[in-house]
Amino acid sequence: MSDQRPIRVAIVGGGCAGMTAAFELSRPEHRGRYAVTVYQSGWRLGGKGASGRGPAGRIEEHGLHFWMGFYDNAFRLMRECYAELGRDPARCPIADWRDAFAPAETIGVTERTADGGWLPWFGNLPRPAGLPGDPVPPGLRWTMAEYARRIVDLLRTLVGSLRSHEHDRMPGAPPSPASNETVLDRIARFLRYGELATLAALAEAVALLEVVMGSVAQYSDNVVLRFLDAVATGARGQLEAAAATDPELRRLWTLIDVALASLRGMVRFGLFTDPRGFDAIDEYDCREWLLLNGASPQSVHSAYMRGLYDLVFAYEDADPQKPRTSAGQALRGMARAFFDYRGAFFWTMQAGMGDVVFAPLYEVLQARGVRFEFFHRLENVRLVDPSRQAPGETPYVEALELDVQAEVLPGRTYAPLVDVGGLPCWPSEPRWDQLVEGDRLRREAWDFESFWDRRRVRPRTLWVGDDFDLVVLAVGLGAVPHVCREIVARDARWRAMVDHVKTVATQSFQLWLKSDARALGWPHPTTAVSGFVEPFDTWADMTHLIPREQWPEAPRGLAYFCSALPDLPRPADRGATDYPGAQREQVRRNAVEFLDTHVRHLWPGATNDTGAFRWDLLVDPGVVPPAAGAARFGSQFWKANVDPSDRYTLSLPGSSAYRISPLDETYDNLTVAGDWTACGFNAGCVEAAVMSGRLAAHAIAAVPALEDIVGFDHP
Amino acid sequence: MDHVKRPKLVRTQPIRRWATLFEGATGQTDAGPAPDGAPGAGDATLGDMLSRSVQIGYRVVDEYVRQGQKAAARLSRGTPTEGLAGDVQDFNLRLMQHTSELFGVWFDFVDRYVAGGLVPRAAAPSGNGAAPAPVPPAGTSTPVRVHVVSPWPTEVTVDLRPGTSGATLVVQALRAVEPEKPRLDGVRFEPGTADAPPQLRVRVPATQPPGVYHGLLVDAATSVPAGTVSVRVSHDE
Repeated sequence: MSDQRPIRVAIVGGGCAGMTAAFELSRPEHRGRYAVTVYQSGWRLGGKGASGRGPAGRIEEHGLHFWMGFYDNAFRLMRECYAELGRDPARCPIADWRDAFAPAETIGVTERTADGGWLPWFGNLPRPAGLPGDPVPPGLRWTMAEYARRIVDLLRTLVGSLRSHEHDRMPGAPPSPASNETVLDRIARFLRYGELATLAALAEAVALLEVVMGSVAQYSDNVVLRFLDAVATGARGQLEAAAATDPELRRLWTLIDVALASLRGMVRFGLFTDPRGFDAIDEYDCREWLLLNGASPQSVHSAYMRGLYDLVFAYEDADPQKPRTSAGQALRGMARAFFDYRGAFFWTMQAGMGDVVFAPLYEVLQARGVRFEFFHRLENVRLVDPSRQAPGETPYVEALELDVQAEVLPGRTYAPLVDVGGLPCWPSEPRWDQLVEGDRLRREAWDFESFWDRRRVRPRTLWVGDDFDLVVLAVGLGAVPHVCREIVARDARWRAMVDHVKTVATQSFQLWLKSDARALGWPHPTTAVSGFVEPFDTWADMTHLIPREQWPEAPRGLAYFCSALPDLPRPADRGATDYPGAQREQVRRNAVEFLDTHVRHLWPGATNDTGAFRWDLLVDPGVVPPAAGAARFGSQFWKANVDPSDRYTLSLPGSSAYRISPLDETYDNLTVAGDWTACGFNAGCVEAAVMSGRLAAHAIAAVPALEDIVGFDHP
Repeated sequence: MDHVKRPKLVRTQPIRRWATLFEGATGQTDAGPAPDGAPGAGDATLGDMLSRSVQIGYRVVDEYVRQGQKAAARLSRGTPTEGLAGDVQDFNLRLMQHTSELFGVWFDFVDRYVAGGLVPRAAAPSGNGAAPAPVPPAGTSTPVRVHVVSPWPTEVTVDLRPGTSGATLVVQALRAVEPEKPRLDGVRFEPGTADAPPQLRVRVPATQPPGVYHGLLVDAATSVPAGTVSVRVSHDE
């Protein structure tokens, strides 16, 4: 490197965004130009993606995480990280990124039926060529025109599905022979169509009539009589019960309807020429915009659309009655998710997110010389006093005020990872033995990750020029009003951001089961299912993780559930120290009620004769005294993500304009990073966080080039 | 105190439109090559195609519903065979024609649109301008009398779906794309009578910033959208 001293960069927050910024700024290509220190509260990295290992080495997550096949920036980061890590596959079960992530094709949503049950929908999406994180194909441009062409292609395929087999025969073509059973099946389906005024169902019904009545001679009298009898006695009633329609075709029609409305809207709203791209319709709610462009109410309230909302916790104040998400971001997300994925539609992690993402990043960054200061909680970002600013001088961060939550033993560097079956992992608790008075802190139950636990061993102030030069603020959005009080008070844009870019608390629980899903009555493929009943609308079968845990007797099933969590009707300020406990108890109650009331729709075999959940199915690792009945739930893992920095960032209609970009130049030594920033993909997800981290690095080092941040320049 | 500063950046915003990125460099745009016709020549074709596709769409659905009900009624009367096969053949022919026509128009339309042949040049906004007003599908609207009280030049566009003029409609507060602009809430809808078309009353306050404000017309009984209203307020005399 040159003879200049390194520029000291303080990265506050070790989630996806902060770690990406650290990865970019510590690249060997910079030749030590940036001396990076990561300040992290508590004992582990990961932010909302942090996980830990609990009893029996079980994986304990903040929630449910999937990596979509279009997460090019995130996958590129992990591919580079694993390549640099150079783990020995003979000694580590997850040595390569392909060990860490596995492709998955089956996704599902659930649909409420007229009789109060739930029907799953499944999609098996094809595996396109390539892998996520591969170089962007030459000549590929994300344009509205290209997306419109893709939608047309999709429509052709879907319409082709409608016209499949005999249903598509044009008049004059000879009807194909069919067995009696087939015809009866189709008659039964016809009766279910009722008076559905959809192209799909009616085309199907008419095609069926043609087959049955136009070639009646081909069938035995018995078949015809049974058909006529069925029509005479049951048609009226069944036609009126239009809600009990053929699910398969209605699903198809939903997709066609939504795709057509999107296409129509792209034209009507001038998106092909609008320089704001999808942001031009950011003000609209997605459902509202689709309705505006001719989608049917049935389609916009379909399981498919509900699943989309559930996927991004798109419920303002976690209220199921207030589903809201920006049409612009939703369409951008759907376009990228369905048309830009590579390898597989989504990918599942093969251990905890902390294990496969943050432990490798930690190891690589540490090897590069990045410093980590654990147990450092940011309390205030202090700006220079305006009276000391020179005329025309840009404001800057003068100091970072932190609380040191615990001291590491003298002469030691905190070693945060533990070995679980040969895999470096984060524990679910601090490594108390490395801390000064660690036993006492443990006995007193210091919670280093709680916003409400303010205990500290000392304050620490970092000064610009002495301790740092530049700052990457990579905390969760919910923490910004608390740690950036001065900025929010002085800067109207920051004030507007914290007012308009909202977050929501989330809840999750994990069950280790003595039976797998199939044995519990789930006949479908292993999958993730969304759009289910509140309070837990999303379920994922994570049984594949059990071999990564260390049970004396392995469970046979592992299930994760998650959803948004309403705030309690009282302030969650820092003085309300019982708030997190009350919410945790609320999540426990929600989970118990959910299992006792609703899970039978997914797992009919998980209930007893009275319809209640069979609590003896739960595998107890022995962390709490053995219990029977619902009390046995206490042996499982559940979480109320109510800490401000743990809250999920929403993409509410009209909120994009209030986001602040990592490239914003208002403060000349500060940049921001997180999925709450204006990063080009304004949604709460890993990809957005990684994009923001790369942008933050660009703001400091002018690399990576903006053109290399995949999807930043996207309509 | 002198401190280390971040470098000045060449740009700080994403480029959402590839045409902008490559303008002047390759001459390519995301709308494809420019049409040969005179500027704005595509407008009529655009409106025609939208109108046609919407009309066909309604026709297809109406036809399906009518014929489906007819067939079901005949079957329930227990006379399914007499003439039904012929009806079905005719029906099937019509529905396939409509379906093919509808999707044909759409596919053709989109192909041509994205290729640039139908993009109205004048519609391309520049800079941070407001979103263009949605193009009303010609031929599907119902006559509406518009009454405007405004100290500023004001242009009103109403797109009312057929068959909704007699319904009790409410107008949601109209909003601009720019979130900082106040919503326009002085818009009321009065249903039509046998003698008079429905009336839209628009009152624009003097403090209303210039811009384009959009809102939905919603059926008060069903909450189903029944149309849209766009109001363009200009402060240019």
